Parts: sequence; C-alpha cells; structure tokens
Amino acid sequence: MTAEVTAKLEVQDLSLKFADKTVLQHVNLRIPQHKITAFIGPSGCGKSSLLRSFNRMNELLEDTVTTGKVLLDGQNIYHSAVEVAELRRRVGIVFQKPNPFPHSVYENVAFGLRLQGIKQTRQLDELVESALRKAALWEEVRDRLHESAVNLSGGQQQRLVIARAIAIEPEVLLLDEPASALDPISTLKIEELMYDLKQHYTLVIVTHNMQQAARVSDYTAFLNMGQLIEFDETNKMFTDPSQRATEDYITGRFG
Amino acid sequence: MLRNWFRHGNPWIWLNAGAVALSLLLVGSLLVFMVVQSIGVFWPAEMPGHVGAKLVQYLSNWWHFLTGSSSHGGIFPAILGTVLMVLLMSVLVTPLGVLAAVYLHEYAKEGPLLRVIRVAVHNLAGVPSIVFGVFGLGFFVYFLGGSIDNLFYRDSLPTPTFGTPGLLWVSLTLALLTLPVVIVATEQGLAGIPKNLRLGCFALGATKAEVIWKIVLPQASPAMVTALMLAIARAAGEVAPLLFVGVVKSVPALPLSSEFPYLQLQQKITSLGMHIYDAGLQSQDAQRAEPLVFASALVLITLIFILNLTAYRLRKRLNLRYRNRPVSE
Repeated sequence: MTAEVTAKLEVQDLSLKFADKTVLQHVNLRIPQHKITAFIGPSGCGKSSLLRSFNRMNELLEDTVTTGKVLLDGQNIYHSAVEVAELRRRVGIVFQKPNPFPHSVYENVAFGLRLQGIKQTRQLDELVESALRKAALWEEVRDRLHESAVNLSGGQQQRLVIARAIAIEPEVLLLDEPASALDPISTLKIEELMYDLKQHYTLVIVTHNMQQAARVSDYTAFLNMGQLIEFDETNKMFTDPSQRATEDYITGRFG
Repeated sequence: MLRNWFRHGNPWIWLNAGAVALSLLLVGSLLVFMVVQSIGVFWPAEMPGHVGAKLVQYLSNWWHFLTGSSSHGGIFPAILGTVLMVLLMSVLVTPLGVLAAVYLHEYAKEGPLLRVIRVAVHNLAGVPSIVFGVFGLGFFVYFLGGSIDNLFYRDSLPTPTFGTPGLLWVSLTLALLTLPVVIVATEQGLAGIPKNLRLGCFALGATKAEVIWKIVLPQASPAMVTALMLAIARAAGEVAPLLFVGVVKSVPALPLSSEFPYLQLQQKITSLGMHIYDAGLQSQDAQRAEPLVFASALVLITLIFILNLTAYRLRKRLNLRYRNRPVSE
C-alpha cells in the first residue's frame, strides 16, 4: 500500500476462535479510508468473520474469543471502555440475505435514526429521503414509503438495508456478500451504488465473485484457512499476484 | 389381511383422518349436546298465546337468567365473578410470564442451571390444580393477606380484611396456575423470531435492551396473546382450587361498586364453574336443576369463546401491525 493513503481500520495480530475452532490466525491488515477493499477466499477461510470483527458482530453469534487489536482511527475497538452500540453506529454492516424489519419502508430507514433520538417528523423525512436517494432507491419507493418493506423485491430490499445502514452516517460500511442472493441487474445496481458510496464512506466487501472484486474494489485481500495470504491494490493483485496460492485461486485452479 | 392393508394401502392417511374425525365428532357432539339440553329450558310451553308472544317470553327468561341475581335464579354474579377473576389473572400473569420468558430466553446463559429452571417451569404446569389451591390458602391468604392486615388494617382486627379468601387471592392463584403456560408459550414465540432481525437491529447501534424493546417484544406479541388465550381457557373453568381462596356458592354483594376503589379485591366471589358444581350436585331438586346446569355450562363455554375471540382478533391486529403478516400463526 502506498504511504499517503490513510488507514481507517488497522488490524493488528488478530486471532479469532469460535468455541474451540480457530477461525483467524494473526491477521495484520490496514484498510484504507474512502476506498473499497474486497476480501476474497474460499468458503470457510474466515473472510466473513474478519469482516464481522470490525464492528464486534462475532460476539453476538457464538462463543467467540478474540485476541489482538482492531484500530478504528487509531483506537482499539476491543478495549473494554468501548461502547459496542456506539461502535456499531460508526461501523455499519449489511448481510448476505436482506433483512428488512417487517415495518414500512419509511420506518426501516427511520429505525436507526430513532435509536439516535431523532424524533422530529420533518428531520426524519429529510434524512430518510436522503438515505434512500444515496441508496439509489428513492425513485422506486417514493410512492410506497408507508407500504411494508417485505413486499419489495430482493434487490430493493438489499438497497433498503443499505439505506437503513447509511442513514445513521456510519464511517465504515461492511458488506458481507451483499449481492450473492440477487439477480444480475440488482447486483449491478448494488455495485454502482458502492462506487458512489466510497466518496463518503470506507467500504469493505466480502465476495465470492472474482469479477465483482475486480470490478468494484480498489484493494483486495486474499485469505485462506484463517490467514491473510496477500493484500494489495486490486489491479496488481489480479494481474500480477505475488503469491502462488493467490494466483491459483484467482484463476480458478482451487477454491 | 390387516398386514397387507398396512403395507399396501395407505394406513397413515386413514388413521390420521380417523383421529381427526373422531376428535371433531367428540367436540361437535359436546357442543350439540350442551345446546340441545339447554335450548329448551326457558321455553314457556304452558304459556297460552301464539308463538311470537312465547318467543318474547323465552328471550326474556334467558335475559333474566343471565342478568338476575342468584336469589332470583339468575347467574349474573357468577358471570361477573368469572370475568373479573380471569381479567385480573390476565393482568397479573401476562407481565410476569413475559418478563420471565424474556429473561430465560434472552439473558440467561445456557447451562445446567437454566436447564433445571426450564424443567421446573414445565413441571409446574403438571402440578395438580388442587395443590395450587392449598398453596394459595396457606401462602396468599394466611401469610400475605395476614401480613397486609397486620400492616394496614390493624384497626379492624381480629376481623380479617385481606387475611381471608377473596377475589385478589383467587386471581393470584389462577395466575400462578397459568404462569408456566404463559412462560412456555412466550418463550416459543421468542425462539421463532428470525436471528437476522436481531442482528439487523444490533447492526444499527442498538443496545440489547433496545433490541428487546423494539424488535423482540413487538415480534413476540402475537405469541403472548396465544399464551394468554391458553391461560384464560385453563383458568375460566377451574373450581376446586378456588374453593380454598375465595370462590363461594353465593355472595351477598358484587365485588364491583360505584364508589372508589370500584373493585373490591378482598371480597369473595362466585363463578360459573362453582355455580355448575353447586347447582348440579348440591341442589335439592335435581329434576329442576339439571337443565339450568346445562344452560350455565353453555354460558361458560360461550364466555370462554368470546374471550378467546377477542384475543384472537387482538393477535391478528398485532400480527399485521408488527410483523406485516396477514395470516396468523
């Protein structure tokens, strides 16, 4: 990584265990600010777990033990004084399967804002509209804001979930295979959306799709068996990887 | 031949359908029997006049039966007593059961202790109801009621105020009796909430308390109503345990009054179940009493049906409002 790029997140010697199973081993990584970083690797390599360790989502899932540090703007998020809820407000996450709340479109986006204590209808209206616009969903839902979000299509639901996440203005947005459950057109929309979002946010995306990683990301990290094998600019990584394993994976010889 | 049928016929469909049919037949005949037995009770066969006049008299007889006091052969005190004890029970058992279920499902750590507690809750549901009656008398009436009297009603002692069976203790005993039902049903509701909804809520920076308040409880509200329906159905017909704690065969005054505090919690009540038992088995004139027993039983069933229907409609509304699911369950 070139020196002038500032690191938004810095992973230092991070190891992670689920119950007794080691998922991540001594990972060191710097996630650059206002860029898209993609995590690639075979299933079970730990890329989703690494992503979830950036806003401490792992500890909600199973018995997990995390050692090492993750620095957000230089502050260790695993420090005992860190408020997890506040951390998750700064580092949002979108999962593979769209999970809109069974409320109206409007209430979905307003949910996080209300958690922040915003109550005024005018202010909520504005913030909801702006979040939906940023998520490229406004034109499609402006007339059905008060209909149930469950009735939207899968692609719309996923963009709604992204709108919900960016409504509270996080600094980092984590995307865990955000398009893998979607059709090609919806996938394209999500990819365009990511491109727009990186002006304001630091994005980290986990993907199984090599073309997607190559298309959207600025940097790519390749993980295998819980270890970071290689991390570099995406162009370099996909044309001239320094590790044999990376080349094999990218060209489809294993994984 | 049987063996052949079992192997090549379609035994399960026939057995299953047969079981359903038998159940329907039993429930149906129970309802039909009740209606047939009680429908003619108030028909004024001896009254002169044409059918219209008889019909008016018939309805008027029913009306008097439903709204009259016990000295006039009516069952109004019993209906009121049943409704009051069930409503008060609901008010007591719902928050307690829901809070306990939330604790067990959301906060308690899985482990041997939690397993023991779960088994205990399930076993509580299997305790014979008469035991709850004895417990209610010993703990609620004598201990709790006696303590309240000692603390707040010293002046009127030795005449007890709360230290004697009454409505409050009836409802508390019923609440204890139905508590496991509410806990178990609510916990099942909590378990049915998709994990990714909780995660989605956490992901927006919600604390655990906020997740429970904003997602878990609204999502589980239909299950809570289901739990309450089960509790009401079980409680409304109880008689034996309540004999210990405040249900009697006739009361001098209703537990409702027009003056503050409107509801007389320390007063004894009578209930439909009690009335059925009393009229059916303790009556001098069995010939005359029997149809009235069936009529009372029909009223009890109808009352439970109405309470359940109300709860069902509430659940439907909650489902629509919080889960955007037009279909219940």
